[in-house]
Amino acid sequence: MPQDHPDGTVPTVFSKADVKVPVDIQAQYITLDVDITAQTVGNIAIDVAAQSVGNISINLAASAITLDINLAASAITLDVNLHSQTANIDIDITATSIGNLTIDIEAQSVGVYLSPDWEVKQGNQKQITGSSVVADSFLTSYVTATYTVPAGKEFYLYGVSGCGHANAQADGDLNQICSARIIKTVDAAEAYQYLGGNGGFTYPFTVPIKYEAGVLIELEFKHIANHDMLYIGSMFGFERSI
Amino acid sequence: MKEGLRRFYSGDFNTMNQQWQSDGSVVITLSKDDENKAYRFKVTDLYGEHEEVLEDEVIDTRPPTYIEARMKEAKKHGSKGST
Repeated sequence: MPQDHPDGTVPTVFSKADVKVPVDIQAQYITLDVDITAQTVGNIAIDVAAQSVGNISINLAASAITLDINLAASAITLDVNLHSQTANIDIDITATSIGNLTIDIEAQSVGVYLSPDWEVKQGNQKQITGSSVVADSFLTSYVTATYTVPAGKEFYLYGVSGCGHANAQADGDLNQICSARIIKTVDAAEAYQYLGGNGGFTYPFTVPIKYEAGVLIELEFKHIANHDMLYIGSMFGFERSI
Repeated sequence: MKEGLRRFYSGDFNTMNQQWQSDGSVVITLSKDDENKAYRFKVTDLYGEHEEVLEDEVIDTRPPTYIEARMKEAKKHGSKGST
């Protein structure tokens, strides 16, 4: 049994195969040295609420490390030095202002992705396609593809395409006029982007259109041709959590 | 809630196809990268108060087994191929 040190500290040693140590410390001043030598370590949840925190030195030596860090402070100094053969670093900064940002990379190769490419690489792309057969009803509108942006996400529309062709062989050589629009509906208010063409159209947007959670997006065709048509429309972009 | 409809409302997919029917219903097919399956369901009154899933199924989207066998064989031979 360890003996209390004259200064009041209590050394504690655990040597069992499975150790669980819930610790709740409430003190004005704490010195806490933790040395863990284990084959595996599960979840370590540390919640520090203090007016000031001194130096925290963390030295991790492992074949694989997943480290989620959420820092909320009026001022942060964060020095990170990574020595690794490969490293994936996702950094998401939300700040009113950013001071100096110095990045020093020494690597044999570095991949830099534009945002759309990166979102596709992360599996966040969306291709929303729809079709409807339209009978000869002049100036009637038909929705072909719809999507409501889920809670906690935002959708970036990077382009739209549409196609219209005759539904009967006898009308195949006629003009196949497509008139379409993207409708954004929030609280019964609507905003539009108008599109059109003869037989079809494709518009990649140089600046994406951003839709927030709860917005209903619809790709709608208006029937203008004088014969029955089949309309097919597609919206493409990516979605990410906010 | 059916799994397909859950994915529809949570945005848990990469591709979606909607086939609007003359009776106002819509057949929706959702798929996600690397899952080798798709969710297809027919729904009436989409987004409406009386929305109802009439039919739903999970589709195996893997290539036919004979195609997978050919791809496996091609990978085995690398760039050399056979004459």
